[in-house]
Amino acid sequence: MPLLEITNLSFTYAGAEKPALQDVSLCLEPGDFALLTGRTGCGKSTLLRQIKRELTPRGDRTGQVLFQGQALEDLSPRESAARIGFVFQRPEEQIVTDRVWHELAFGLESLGVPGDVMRRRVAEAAQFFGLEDCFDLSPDQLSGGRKQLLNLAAATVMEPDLLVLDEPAAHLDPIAAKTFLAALERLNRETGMAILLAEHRLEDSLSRAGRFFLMEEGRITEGGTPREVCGRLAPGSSAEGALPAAARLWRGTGRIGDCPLSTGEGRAWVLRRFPAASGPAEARETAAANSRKAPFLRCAPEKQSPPPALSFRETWFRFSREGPDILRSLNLDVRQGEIFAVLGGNGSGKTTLLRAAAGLISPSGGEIRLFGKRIREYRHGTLRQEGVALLPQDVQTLFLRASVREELKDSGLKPEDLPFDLSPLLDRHPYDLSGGEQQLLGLSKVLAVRPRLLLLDEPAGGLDAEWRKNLRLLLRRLREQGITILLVTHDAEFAAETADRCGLLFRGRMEAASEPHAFFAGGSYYTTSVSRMLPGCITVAEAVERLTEPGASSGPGNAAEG
Amino acid sequence: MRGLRGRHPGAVCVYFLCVLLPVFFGMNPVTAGLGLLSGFFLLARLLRRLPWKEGLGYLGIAAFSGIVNPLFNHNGQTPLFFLNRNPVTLEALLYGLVMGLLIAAVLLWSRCFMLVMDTDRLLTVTGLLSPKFSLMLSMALRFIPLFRRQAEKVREARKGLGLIREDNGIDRMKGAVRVFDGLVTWGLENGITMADSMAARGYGTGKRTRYPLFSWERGDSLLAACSLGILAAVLAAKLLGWIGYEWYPRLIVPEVSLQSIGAYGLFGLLCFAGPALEAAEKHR
Repeated sequence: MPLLEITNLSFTYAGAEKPALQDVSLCLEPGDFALLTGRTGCGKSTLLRQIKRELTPRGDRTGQVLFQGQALEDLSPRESAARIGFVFQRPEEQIVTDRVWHELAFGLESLGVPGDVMRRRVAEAAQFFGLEDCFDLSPDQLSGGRKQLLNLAAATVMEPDLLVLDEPAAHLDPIAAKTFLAALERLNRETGMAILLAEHRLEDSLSRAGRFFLMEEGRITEGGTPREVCGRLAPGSSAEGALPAAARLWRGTGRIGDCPLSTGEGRAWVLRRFPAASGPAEARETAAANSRKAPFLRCAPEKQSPPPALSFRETWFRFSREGPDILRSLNLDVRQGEIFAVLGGNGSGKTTLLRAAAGLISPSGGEIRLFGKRIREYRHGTLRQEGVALLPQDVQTLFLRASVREELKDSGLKPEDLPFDLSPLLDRHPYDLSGGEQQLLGLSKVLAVRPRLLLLDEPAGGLDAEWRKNLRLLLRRLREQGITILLVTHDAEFAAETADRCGLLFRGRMEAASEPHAFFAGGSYYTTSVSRMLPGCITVAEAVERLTEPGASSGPGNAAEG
Repeated sequence: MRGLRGRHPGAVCVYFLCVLLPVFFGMNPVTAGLGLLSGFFLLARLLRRLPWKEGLGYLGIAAFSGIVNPLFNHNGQTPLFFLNRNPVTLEALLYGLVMGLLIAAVLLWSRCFMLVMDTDRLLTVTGLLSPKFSLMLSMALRFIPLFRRQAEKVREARKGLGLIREDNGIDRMKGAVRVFDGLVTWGLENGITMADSMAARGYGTGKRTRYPLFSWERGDSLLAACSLGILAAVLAAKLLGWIGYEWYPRLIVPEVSLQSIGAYGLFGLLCFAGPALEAAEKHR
C-alpha cells in the first residue's frame, strides 16, 4: 500500500479565478525521499499544504488524497498531527516556545503523551540532531541553521510516517543548508521516515533524493528518478537553470554517459570523459587566458583614477570593550562603478563591514573613506545625501505599509520610473510577495534615495534560479548607470556570475581580492562547483564552451591513452 | 546534600509558601524576626557574600514603618506624647515596627525566591497548575525580546536608507509611530506562521501534558511534607491562642509556655532549613 496517494487533485483558492493546482497525481511509498521543485509561485506550497490537513487553506478542491489508504479527512486530529510532520520555510517564525527542550517537547505535550515517554523521545531526537549542548538555551541564541535543525527535530519527535518540508533551506547559508540536507538524508536512511521536500536550490539536494518531481504552473510535469528527469527535461525548460551545475554541464555537452548529480560525480565524469580538458596545466593556462578576456577587467587603470567609492584602511571594530574583534585591520578599496562581492562564512564580519560602511556603527580603529572623504566628516544626514544606502538582509524590515503601492508612494516613487516592472504587484501586501519580489521592492525603496554606493546584504538569499538571474541582470544595469555596488554573500556562484571583483573575508580581515577568475581559480574550497569540476572555469556557460571546443572532447578511448 | 536549586521547583514553592504565610499573616514579632534573620542568611548563601547593604535597607524599611504607623494610627491606650493634639501611642509604634519587620522579611524571602526560581522553574510550577497557561507564558517570554530585536532591526534598516531623521523630536516621534505600525503587521504575520506551526504539531487536539524537566525525588516529598506539617502546627498554635498577639487597644503578649516555645522552635527550624540546605550544598 502506498504511503501517500494523490489522485487528480485540483484546488482553487477561495476568491481566486485560476486554479492553483490542476489535476495533480503523485504517489509516495514508505521510505521514499522525494524532491519537489519548481519556480517560486508554481504551487509547491499549495500542494504541500493539501497534504497536511491542519494547514489546508479554504477553497474548492476536487480529487483525492489518501494517506496509508485512508482519506486524509478521515484521520483523527491526533493522528493527522502525529503521523504527518511539517517543517516551514523560515526558521525563526515557526518556533513557539522560549526553550530548546520545550520546543522539542511541544508536539508531544499537545498529544498528551505521558512524561516518561516524552523524556525518552525528546532525548533521542536531541541526540540524533546534535542538540544536547543547547538543550537549556533559548532558541534565539542558536544560529539560523541550528534553529532549522531544531524545527526538524521538533517535527520528528512525534515519529511521523511522512515528513513534509516547504523549502526549509531557502533561508540558510550554504554550509548550514548542506548540514540540514545531510541531517534529512540521514533521517531518511536510518529511520526510514518518508520525506517530501520542496526545494528550488537543487545543487545539494538532488543527489540525495530518490524521486524527483517538477512542478510548473500548478501541474506536475515531470516525475521519476533524478537521472531520468535530468535526461528528459526539454532544453529551455524553466527548471533547467535550477539543476546542479554538474547536470547542466552534462546537458550542455551532449549528454555523454550517466548524468552526474553532485559536484563529486561531476568531477569524476569530467575526468573520465574529457581528460584532455581537465589537466591542471591546461587549467592554469585557461584561467590566465580567461582573466585576460575583456569583460571582467573593465575597471579603470589605477593611475589618475577618481578616489575609490569606499575604502577601509586598517579598520578595527568590536561591539564592546571586552568583546572579540569583528573587523581586524581590514583593508579594502571599492572602485567607483564596480560590483564588488565580499564572500565569507558565518561570523566572518560581512554584515558588520556593511554596517560600518553605511555609518551605522563607527570603527574602533583605522578609518573609512567614502568617495575620498572620511566618514566621520559627513555630518548628520549628509552621508545619505551623498548617496550611501544599505539594503538589509531581511528586506521585510523595510516594509511598513499595507500594499506595494503605498510603499512606493512612501518613498516618493512612481511605478513607471523603476528599472523593473512592479505594476502587477501594486495592490498586494508586501508580506505576501515572493522572496524575489520582496527583494525588488526593497531595491526600489533603496534606489529611491538615489544612491551612488549601494550596499547589499545577501541579496540573492532564498531566491530561485530565475530570480537570481533577474537580480544579476538588474545589478549589472545599475552598474551601467554608474552606481557602485558592494554586496556581501555566502554564495560563490552568485558572486562569480555578478561581480567585477571578489574578496574573501575571514575573521574580519580581507584575505584575497581579485577579479572572479583569478579569485575562484585560486581557491580550492571557497569556490564555485564548476571550478571544482573543471579548474579554470567558474560558470557553467564557460565550462560548456571549453568542453565543446574542438579537441577538448574525447571519448573513453582517448581517456585510455591519456 | 543539594541546595534549593537542586530540588524540584514544586517542593521549593511549597517550602517558600510555608515560610511566608505565617510570617505575613502572623503579625507576630517572633515569626517576623525569625523570617527576617533566616531570609538574610539565605540571601547571603545564594549570593555567596554577606549582603550588608541590602540587609540594612530591609531594616530601614522596618524602622520607617515603625515611625510612620503611629503618626497616622492613633489607636492604643498608652500615649507616649501628643503631636498636633493627636496621641502617639506605644501600641501603634510597636505594631508599626512588627509590621515593618514582616514586610522586610517577606521582601527578603521574595528576593531569594526569584534567585532560586529561574524561568524554567517558574514555568514548571505554573505547568503543574495549568499546562496551557504555562505555554502562554513561555510564548510571551519568547515574543517580547523578539519584538524588541525586530524593532531595532527596523529602525536600523530605515536609518541605513536615511528614512529616519533624528534631528528633532517631532521627526523622531513620527518615525517611532511608523516603526511601531510596521511591527504590528510583522507580529501578526509572524503569528500566522506560528499558529500554523502549532496546529501542525497537534495543538488543541486534546489535553496537554508537560515535559518533566525536573524529577520529583524522595527528598522533595520530605521537604514538602515537613513544610506543610510545620505550617499546620503553627496554624494550630495560632488558633489555640498560644502565640496570638493582641495590639489594640492594649498590647497583650501571650504567655511563654512549652507549647509556644515548641511552635516557635518548629517554625525556626523551617525558616533555617533553607539556608542550611544551601550551606550544606556540595560544590559542583
